[in-house]
Amino acid sequence: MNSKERLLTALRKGTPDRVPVTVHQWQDYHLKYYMNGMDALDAFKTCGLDASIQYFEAMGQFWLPGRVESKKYSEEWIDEVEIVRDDVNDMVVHHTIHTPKGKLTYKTGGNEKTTWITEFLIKNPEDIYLLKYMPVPKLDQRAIAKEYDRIGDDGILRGFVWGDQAGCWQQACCYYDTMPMVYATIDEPQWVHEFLDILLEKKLQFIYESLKGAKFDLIETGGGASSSTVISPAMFKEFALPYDRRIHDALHDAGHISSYHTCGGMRGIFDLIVQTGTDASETLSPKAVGGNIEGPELYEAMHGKVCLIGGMDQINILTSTPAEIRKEVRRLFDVFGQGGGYIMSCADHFFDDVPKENLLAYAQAARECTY
Amino acid sequence: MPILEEISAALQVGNGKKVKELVQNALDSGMDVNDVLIQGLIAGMDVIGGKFRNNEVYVPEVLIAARAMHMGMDILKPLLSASGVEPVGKVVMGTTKGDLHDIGKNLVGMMMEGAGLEIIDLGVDVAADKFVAATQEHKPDILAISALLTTTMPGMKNVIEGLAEAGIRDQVKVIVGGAPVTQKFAREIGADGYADDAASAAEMAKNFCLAAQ
Repeated sequence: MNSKERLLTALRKGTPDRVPVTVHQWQDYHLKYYMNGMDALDAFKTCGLDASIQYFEAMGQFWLPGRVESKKYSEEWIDEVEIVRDDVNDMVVHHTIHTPKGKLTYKTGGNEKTTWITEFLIKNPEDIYLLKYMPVPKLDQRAIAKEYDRIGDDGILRGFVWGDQAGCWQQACCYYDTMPMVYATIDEPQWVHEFLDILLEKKLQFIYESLKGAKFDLIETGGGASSSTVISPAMFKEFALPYDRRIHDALHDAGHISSYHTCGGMRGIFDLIVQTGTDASETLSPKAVGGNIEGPELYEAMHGKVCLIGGMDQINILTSTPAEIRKEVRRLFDVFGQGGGYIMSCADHFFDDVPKENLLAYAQAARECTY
Repeated sequence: MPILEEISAALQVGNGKKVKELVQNALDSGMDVNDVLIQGLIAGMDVIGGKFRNNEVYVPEVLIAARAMHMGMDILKPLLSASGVEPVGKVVMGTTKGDLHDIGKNLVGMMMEGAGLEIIDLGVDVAADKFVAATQEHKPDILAISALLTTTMPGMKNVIEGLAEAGIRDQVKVIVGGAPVTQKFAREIGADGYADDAASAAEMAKNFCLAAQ
């Protein structure tokens, strides 16, 4: 099997020739400092990994790196940018969004590795009504097709759902902060649903306008704030599940399959994740990187219902020795890989201390995990 | 149900208004402020902390319970100060430089407060020199440092080195935690303690304080 066939077979919950092995969204920082500046596809091929390329288009996401500029997204949504501190290692950017009915502001910090929010967009409950002016850009279909063809049989192309995070709850947490959102579910649940509905409408619009017919192999959904290290099962059931299910239904309707990303904790929500209608579930994060699962328990609950993606500890194992990596690859294959439907992957991004020889050992060990 | 048990029960389900009302009723009936604190609020947080450690409840349940505790504490705090009730110990806490995540840190702070400790929260994105200056200023028993990101974890080591350079490393116990932080990492950077959940962190801090008394 080639890489594309292998990954797609596992995504269909089937059994490929051997376990597919990949990493989660190769980071530019790592490519620059550890992989001689090559691009993600070349890095996958150089290391002998099955390529899983994340497609990207800038759409005003808060996490756009570096020195972003003011932009008129539409007549009703104008992003006025002020670079507060112009330092690649300590960047501070202030945004003022002008809409016909008022302004919204937010601020980000950043360095060469990543970007984070220091001031949230939604400060008062009524601010959510200004989000109706937020435009839903359309993807460049020719650019997607070009990237799809470039990858060819070397792997798959992953697409995304509009927004800073794919899930409605998760995006709302990026706009209002997670802890206030948790409190709001208790104090103002109707407002939370109203907020989530505003976001859902835009996501569905994006799916039907931009994803229908787009040459993606897989669409990433979900996001960090649906992790059960943050949200409880009861809260997930009321504030994540119904919205995620609508997104997954729409994606299926548009001819796509999805991978639901929980970025950490999955304990207590195995069945709920399945109920979202997703086709795959990631990231099977081990406890040492902030997860909360026991592998066998997760396998018992989810194997055969969704494809499982992830499991590799990118902080403590992938940075260790080739011998440790080989041992962990075998363990992951034994725990999650039996019966197929599993893609071995890092549980999340890595930036530092993962040299090429470790990635080569990771890929080589996985290639020996045959069915 | 006796009123102190009622306070504890209301706190456990996060009913802050009820907690506030019951705390006021208990005080109005002549109960000792310290009893209301220990047998009402702290007892409730102990139960939630235990359930959290045993995976019976999740972060949101702890957050709303802690918020309810704060509503009760708002009434008790001035009375506790006036009656000379001393906290078990003092904790300075914060999230490392470059790290804006605060739920874990807040949770630890709330659990520690629930364990009877005084908390001085420096917030998020705290530089090493600010941790050192706060240690010099407040003279805490415990310095608690949180990080959620692998990219910000090294900041913990900078804080410990800063304490050593300032000559005050032996005057404070340093405990560290956060999703990617491990016991091994804590040992390597010279921390005194590591806890992998908020309830354990609060228990560890309390034990350090009690051992020092």
